[in-house]
Amino acid sequence: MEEELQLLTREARSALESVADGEGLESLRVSYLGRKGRITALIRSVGALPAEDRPRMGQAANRLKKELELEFEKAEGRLREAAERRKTSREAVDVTLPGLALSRGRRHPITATLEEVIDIFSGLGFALESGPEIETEYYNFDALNMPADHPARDMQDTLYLEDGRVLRTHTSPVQIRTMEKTEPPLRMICAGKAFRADTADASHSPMFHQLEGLMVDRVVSLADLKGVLTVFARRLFGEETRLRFRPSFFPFTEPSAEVDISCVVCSGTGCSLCSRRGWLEILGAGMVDPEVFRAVGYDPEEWTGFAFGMGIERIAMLKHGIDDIRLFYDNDLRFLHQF
Amino acid sequence: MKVSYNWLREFVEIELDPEALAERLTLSGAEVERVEKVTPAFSGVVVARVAAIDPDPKKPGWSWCRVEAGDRELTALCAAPNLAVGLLTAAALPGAVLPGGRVEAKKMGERISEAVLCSEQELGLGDDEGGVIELPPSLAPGQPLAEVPGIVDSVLEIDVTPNRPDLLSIRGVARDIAALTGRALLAPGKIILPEGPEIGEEAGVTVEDYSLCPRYCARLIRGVRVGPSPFPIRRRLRLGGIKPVNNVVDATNYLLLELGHPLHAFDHAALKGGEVIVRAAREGESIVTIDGSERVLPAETLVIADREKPVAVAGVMGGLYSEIGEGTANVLLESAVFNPVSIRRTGRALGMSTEASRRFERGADPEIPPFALDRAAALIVELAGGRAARGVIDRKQEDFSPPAVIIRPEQAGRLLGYPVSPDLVKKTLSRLGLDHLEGDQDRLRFSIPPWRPDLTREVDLVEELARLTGFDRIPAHLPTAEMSSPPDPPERMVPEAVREVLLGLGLDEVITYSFLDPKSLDRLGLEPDNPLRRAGRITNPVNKEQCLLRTTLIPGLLEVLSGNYNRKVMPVNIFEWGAVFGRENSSPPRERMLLSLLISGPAVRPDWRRPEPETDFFTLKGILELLGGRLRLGPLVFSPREDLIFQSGQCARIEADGVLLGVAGKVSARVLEAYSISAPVFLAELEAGPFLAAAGGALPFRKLDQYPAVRRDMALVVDESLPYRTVGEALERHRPELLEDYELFDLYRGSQVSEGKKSFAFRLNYRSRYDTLCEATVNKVHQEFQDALISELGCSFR
Repeated sequence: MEEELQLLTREARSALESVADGEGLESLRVSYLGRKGRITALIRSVGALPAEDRPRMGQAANRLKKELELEFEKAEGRLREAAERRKTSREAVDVTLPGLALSRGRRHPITATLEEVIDIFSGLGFALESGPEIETEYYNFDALNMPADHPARDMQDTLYLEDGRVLRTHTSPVQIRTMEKTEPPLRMICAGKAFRADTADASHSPMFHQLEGLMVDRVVSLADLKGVLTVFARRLFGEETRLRFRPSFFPFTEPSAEVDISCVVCSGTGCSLCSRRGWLEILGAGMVDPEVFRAVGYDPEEWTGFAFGMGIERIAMLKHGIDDIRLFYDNDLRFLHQF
Repeated sequence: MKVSYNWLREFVEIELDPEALAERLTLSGAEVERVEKVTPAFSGVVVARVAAIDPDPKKPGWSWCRVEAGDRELTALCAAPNLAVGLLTAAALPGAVLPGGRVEAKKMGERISEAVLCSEQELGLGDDEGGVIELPPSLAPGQPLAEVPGIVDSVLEIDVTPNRPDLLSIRGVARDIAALTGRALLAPGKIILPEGPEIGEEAGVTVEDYSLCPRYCARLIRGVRVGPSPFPIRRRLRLGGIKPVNNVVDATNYLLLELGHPLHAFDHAALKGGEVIVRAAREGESIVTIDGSERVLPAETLVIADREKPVAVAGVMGGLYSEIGEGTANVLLESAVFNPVSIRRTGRALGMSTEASRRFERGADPEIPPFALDRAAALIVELAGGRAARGVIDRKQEDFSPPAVIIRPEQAGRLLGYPVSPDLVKKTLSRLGLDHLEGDQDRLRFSIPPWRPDLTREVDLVEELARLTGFDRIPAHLPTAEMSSPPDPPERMVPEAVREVLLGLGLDEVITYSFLDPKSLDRLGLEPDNPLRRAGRITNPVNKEQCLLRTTLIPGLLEVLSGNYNRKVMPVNIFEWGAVFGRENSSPPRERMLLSLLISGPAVRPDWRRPEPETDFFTLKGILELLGGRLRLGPLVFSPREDLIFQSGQCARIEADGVLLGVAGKVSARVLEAYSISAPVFLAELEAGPFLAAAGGALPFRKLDQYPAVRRDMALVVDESLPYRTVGEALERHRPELLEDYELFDLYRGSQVSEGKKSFAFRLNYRSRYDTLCEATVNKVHQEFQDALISELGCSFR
């Protein structure tokens, strides 16, 4: 019997080695270890042995059965792994193929720049206001200390409507409208389209975007203006940015300044972008002219204020190195998709 | 204003080179836009004196000249008509390079011409080619011409702000430089004006309205010989951007540049009665100005007239009839001050802007006329000979009294943000020629010089103070103010939310011009009474494509589409949020915001694995519905509509919450043809108002359901003619409480249903918020739901 047992085990082992799939393995298991299996039958026949042989033979038979069960498990693992390998190799992909063409639309660069600038001033406590694009001459000029026949009106070629109103030449009327409805102190910005009778070329556009700011309080000075604009320029163009204030003239501010930043390309050493000057003009600013305060009923002895304004196209052009303002309004998707 | 660096140095000592000076001026508010280096276009040319002239016997008109050039003597063959012994001119030596080429000694017959005597034109110094250049007698023969002062120069082009008439002159710029650098302003040479007999009764001046002409000075110069000006005068005029004319006119223009005060010279003989009258133009009067154009003068135009007719548009341009010409012998010289507003109106009415009007409309110095007059008279006499008559006519109503302005150092400090002492104010302002009058330290009173009409208020002086002390002295600090973080208004939040949705769906944002081309209304094929045709008109458009204000965003989007298609950039899926300007009948244009979308292809680009998905009306509708949901407009209701822009049967009007939101549809073939587009295009134009109105606070949270849902499918078979909307409304009306949601997942027509029928297949989710649903409950509810639909719609289920 012992011999028979050994023989069966050897036979089962060699069969296991050559088994190719789960099905074969299962039928082997049934034929050896199943209820009617050959090993099972053998173990059952131990009972028929003489009593003195039974314990020894029983133990031997059970040990062999255990060993065989272990072998079956191993074989099963082997077969699973092989199947897994076959499956993954079937599913292998060419990882060098391009990914799917997912896309997301792009914000217009003007909007993106506007949003960025608005965020900076929002963080400084400036409330966003808005106003109409068609304005009366009063809001666009007179209230801003530009009476009729003032030479400063020539600085802005105005587009007139048949009803005598104008397409606003700047967003400054919003400052007037805001002051009219608000008691000082106040901090506001406004942003939007403005229009001039300019033929479009690389640096002019009959329509463009402006962002302006105004702060009125009891003691607001040119130094405060400088501080606010320094924070702004460094947030927008980087911490290393230097600012330069140049005296200038605007009818609605006095003193007035034009503000330059150190060139975004050469940092001031001189390059073609800044025409070798090292500086780029980015905005106009100044202390609110007392005449403007009078127009809105603020007492210029009690209140002082600063105002500033910038062209968003100019800022976007400097930020991205865009050399032609018309690109913003061509809306060529190849342009829009770059931002 | 073009300013010659050399000329400036006659009025102020300058240690800075032109570039550094430009920087200094720019930082003081006189922005120098560019510095043009004027360098000679020649080399090897020297100053030479003509010593002898020997006409060539064989070539009529040609002469052999012997010229001295320092220690050399040269011969030159020359045909210039102005050759004269003693004349100082320019000789190009062998090897010299002129703009026109290289100069070599040439054998001409028996003799050798060693040098070329040059005209201004040959030297590239001007356009005079009528003879050899005539150099000032003060130069030394033999001196290289390139080293002669004035040949090498730098021209600073200053962008003068409208408040600074004084900077429209060499002397004014020099005065500012003097103030900035602490130097003295130098006076030009003393005026030497030999006077002849009394002006007497020969010339007269009458000013009818002193409010329009506060001062009018005149002089008479007799016996001038009109001819070209000498080279240095012409050179300076040219560098200043003024074309030389003749010695008398050039003299007035020279002083225009030097002093910034426009003068005018009349041919006295052409003035009827020998006098001038400053008066308003009369109805129907006209004048031929010196530029040769006849101009009808609007009434009220200020003119200078003789006894019969206008002879000049005051302060703007002279008349051709009395202009200085070859035959002029006696000159009546005008030096006046005109009302800036009147000049500006005249210039605008006549469409003229001249060197003179640009200065007068900014405000002339009321004290300068007699001085400018004498300077000009002296220069005319120097250049054209003649004698000034003794006596000056000076008509004015009142003497100029300098205005006084008070500045409080404390207020200056308050505005500038740094402490300002009375001493600093006094020291700084006096450098500008402002005289400190009396007054205590808190209120300093200054008299304002006549050339600074812009200084009328305290803030003006504060600006001068800051300008001269330097804006870089102003510290930078953040204002002390109450902390605040104002909420964003809907005007910002709503378009941002719209962008977030549409960008996420692959649409690009565009911004197009607010103008409208009348032709695009035709391209859209709009009927004559279509409200979109009622566009506001711009009275002075830049071009006719931009003469209207847009009433719709659609043409702008279609142009973006066609522009991109022409460049083979596609598909174009875009949107714009922007203002339009519509009109109710004849009312003025009213502004409102629109949101428009254009879809011309799949939102997700096709790629190697996915073929191009179909784009149709429902692509656009899906986008709109998602947008309406995210922007909290409530369910959008689409109903069929016919519109000329859209293809019949593929256009819908959209309502949200009973309010008209807009229109969407497939663009008609006719419109696409007008834009040369051959792809299907879907457009929607929506009012922004409902979007802005729907913006609100935070969304409320609804507890998540915990119990499992039970799914049921049902396919309703209905008549082909029944629109989905009827079915949808019935579903809503009979919707069981347990029905959580449902969706249409199939629309079927074909062999499985009978002819003339269609089948809507829905997937329904039943769920209870309180317990797990059992089959029996769901079956009962579902059956009741179906029964209700059968009785309402007469449908069957399959």
